Amino acid sequence: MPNPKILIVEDNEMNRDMLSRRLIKRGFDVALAEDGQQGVDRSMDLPSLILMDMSLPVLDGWEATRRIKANPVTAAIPIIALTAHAMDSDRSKALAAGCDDYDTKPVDIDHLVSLIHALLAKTPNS
Amino acid sequence: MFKRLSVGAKFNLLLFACFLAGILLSTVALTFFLHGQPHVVAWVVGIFTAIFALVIFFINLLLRFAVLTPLTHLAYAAQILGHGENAKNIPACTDTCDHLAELAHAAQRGDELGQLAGLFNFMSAQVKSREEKLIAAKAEIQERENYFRSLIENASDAIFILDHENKIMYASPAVERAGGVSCDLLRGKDFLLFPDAADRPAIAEALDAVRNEPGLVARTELSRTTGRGVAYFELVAGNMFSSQYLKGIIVNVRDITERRRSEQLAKEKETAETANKAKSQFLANMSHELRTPLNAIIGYSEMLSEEAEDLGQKSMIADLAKIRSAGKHLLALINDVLDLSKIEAGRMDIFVENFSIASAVKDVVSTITPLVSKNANQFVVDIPEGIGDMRADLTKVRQGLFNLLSNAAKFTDHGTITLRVAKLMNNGTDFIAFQVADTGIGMTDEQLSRLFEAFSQADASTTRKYGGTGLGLAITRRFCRMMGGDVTVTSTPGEGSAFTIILPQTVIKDTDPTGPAASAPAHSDALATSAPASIAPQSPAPVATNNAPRRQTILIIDDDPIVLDLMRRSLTRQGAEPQFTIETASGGAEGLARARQLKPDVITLDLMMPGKDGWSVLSDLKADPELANIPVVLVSILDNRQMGFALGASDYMVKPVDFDRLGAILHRLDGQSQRTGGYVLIVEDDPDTRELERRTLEKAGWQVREAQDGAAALEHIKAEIPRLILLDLLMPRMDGFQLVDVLHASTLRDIPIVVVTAKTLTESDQATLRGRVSAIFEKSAYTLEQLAAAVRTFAQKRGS
Repeated sequence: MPNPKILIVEDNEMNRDMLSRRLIKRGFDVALAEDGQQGVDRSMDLPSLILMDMSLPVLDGWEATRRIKANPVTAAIPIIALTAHAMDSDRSKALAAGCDDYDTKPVDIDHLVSLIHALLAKTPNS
Repeated sequence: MFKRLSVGAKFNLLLFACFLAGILLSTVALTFFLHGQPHVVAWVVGIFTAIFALVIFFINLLLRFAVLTPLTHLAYAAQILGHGENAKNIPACTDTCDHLAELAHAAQRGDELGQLAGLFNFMSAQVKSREEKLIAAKAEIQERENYFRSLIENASDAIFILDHENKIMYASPAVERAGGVSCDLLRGKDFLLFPDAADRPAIAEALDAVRNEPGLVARTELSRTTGRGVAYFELVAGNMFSSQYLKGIIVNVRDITERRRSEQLAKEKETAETANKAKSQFLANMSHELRTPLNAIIGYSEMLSEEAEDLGQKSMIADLAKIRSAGKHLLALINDVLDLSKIEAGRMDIFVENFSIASAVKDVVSTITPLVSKNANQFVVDIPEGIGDMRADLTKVRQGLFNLLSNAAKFTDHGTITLRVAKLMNNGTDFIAFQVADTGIGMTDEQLSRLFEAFSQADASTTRKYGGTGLGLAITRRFCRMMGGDVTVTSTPGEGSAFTIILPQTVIKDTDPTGPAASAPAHSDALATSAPASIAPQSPAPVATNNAPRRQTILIIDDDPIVLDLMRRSLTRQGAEPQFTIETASGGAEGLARARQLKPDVITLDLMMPGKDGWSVLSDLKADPELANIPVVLVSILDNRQMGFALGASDYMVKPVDFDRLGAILHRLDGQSQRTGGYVLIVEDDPDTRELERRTLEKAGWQVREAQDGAAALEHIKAEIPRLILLDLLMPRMDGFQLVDVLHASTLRDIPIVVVTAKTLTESDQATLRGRVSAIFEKSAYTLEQLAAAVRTFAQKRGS
């Protein structure tokens, strides 16, 4: 069974770097997108799960999520929203936009990995 | 029989009797004389003389009783009548009643004097009644004069009456009270000598204007520097030359210093609040900017320590752990500052959801246990079975509990920390109480009093010893209060403290009017629920009431019950369902009281009312800072617009009322205008983009108007409310953010706004716009079809 592929949609280069390296270290394959539009485009490659930052250029995380969830091809891909602390409004809106779960930044990598595993376990295709 | 004869007849009768007796006696005397009996003649002469003397005596009596006595009475009576009230002071008239009674008695007689007395009595009665009426009228005039005089003399306003040359003819006592100058000294002086030189031209102009136009009322303001600062006055002058009594210009000078001062204070308060908000906004933005690099510091130090562990470089692990822990501490500080500044900027929202109390507590306990056991403390958790769910903001509840528990852990060594959960009932509402008790160092009363203030730990040294921001409790308290609860504390120094969070079991979303969440629920809901799976459902009942469009309250002040009824009926009739709640008051004083009590959205005010008239009500309304902003429509048979507008009225209608127009005015004033135009307003500084958008929308069947910046857009919006605004953000003069701000602060916040921008929106930009605009299109990231579709969706939502 191949490694699950995680699509990281994140505009901050250091965050992208950290997340990808730590996930790779924990046995995931990683794809990267730098803004919402790229995220929507790369979702067509059908990753196992998407980590979505919410404040993104071009297309924000909420809108990107909405589009991915609106497309029957990509709708089943679980999405975890990554929101900044105290931005509860972002969090609720992320869930409302169709995200399956959320975590706050800075990420506690062990917590995040447990969320990822939980969601992947629920998804039939992975 | 003799008595009934007139005085003249009596005389005639007596003289005739005397004459007959004379002839008889002369005949008898002549006969005896001719027969030579002279002694008989002597007898006859004697008898004649006696008879004559007797007649004279009778005539005398007759004259006295029939003529002289009544005449005397008449004379006295005339004198009494002449002196009127003062008759008692005439020495001869002390027995007035006798004379009048005798005169009345004389009037019974049938003779000339009787008639005379009768006529005299009639005349005197007439005179008396006229005199009485005159006295009554005089008393009334006096009373009225006293009334007006006391009004003027007791008025706190200084009142002057000036002649044609602005010379003071009268100055009310208030002048003396205020200025210390005797009113007598002022008389004859030029009024213009008294105001400050700077104010003189305006006053002279007002007085000239008034003098040349009878009936005109002019007002102007003046200021005067006194020992206690600057005093402001309002001067109102009216032409009273046509008045029979005043014949001059009446000038009323009112001290409006207090009003000015309260206006000034309100303005200063507003400035301070704006500055405070700007500060909080800055902190919020700044905190965000600080967090981004901090994330990297924490993240990379974590990664490095993982690497070090893998590579077996133990010496580095401890140092990397220090970097990470310092980073986390700094992050916690920044997060607290961010929370607090968000609360203060009114941008902290509450998101209520249902959750299991037990599992929320379990979550917190598992996170905090390592911290609690660090100081060798025992941790007791006491939660009753089956406590069930609550509906609140889970994150904030968790944060509050975490804060209390970490405080307890921090300040307790080798002790016990207890977390107790209980359900309470108060006034029919269920509350959940979370109590965190410790056996730590405790606090003094003085420390307790400052405990919940931001930036104040019990004392500064505490911060150094125990760390922390001192913001945790302030934030916890504010969170609890936002959810309709509170946090309280009891403590004994050396024995420990107990903090209790009490929250309603079902938290109803706060309706703080300044918070963006409450004031723009429609848009945020529209954004939040447009996806099919909304997991943050709103509690239907309470939120629905909060969000329901409030009906506008209109207060009608008119003394005429028919007008009140007519206005009420015609205004409730307008529109399919009543849009106005109508309240009425039938007099000025009542109207003012109702206005204070109701704070209506619009007031219609009759001018001519008995008692406190409309002008006075209007002045009082505009002088009260709480009521000054309520639009007032004057409704009167007097057409005196200028005066009305000068006094601060918003509109003016002349009776008879045109109800359609009144309805339109009220709609305009309360911002609930239904005359929504069928046009889309494009606000864009770039002509090419404007052209493109215009063509796209026109093709989709929209009427389009264009504005090249926010200020021009406002002109369009004022003229007619658009169905939707297509808004660029970066523009000269007034940019898109400013326009959104202006509209959001006004009654026009319901106009849907679709933002089309080339600007890459920062998170704070988005935060600013969120809830205030319907959609954001970043240029080149959308198709024209999408834009047209969005316009249709949002404009129709508005139209429905």
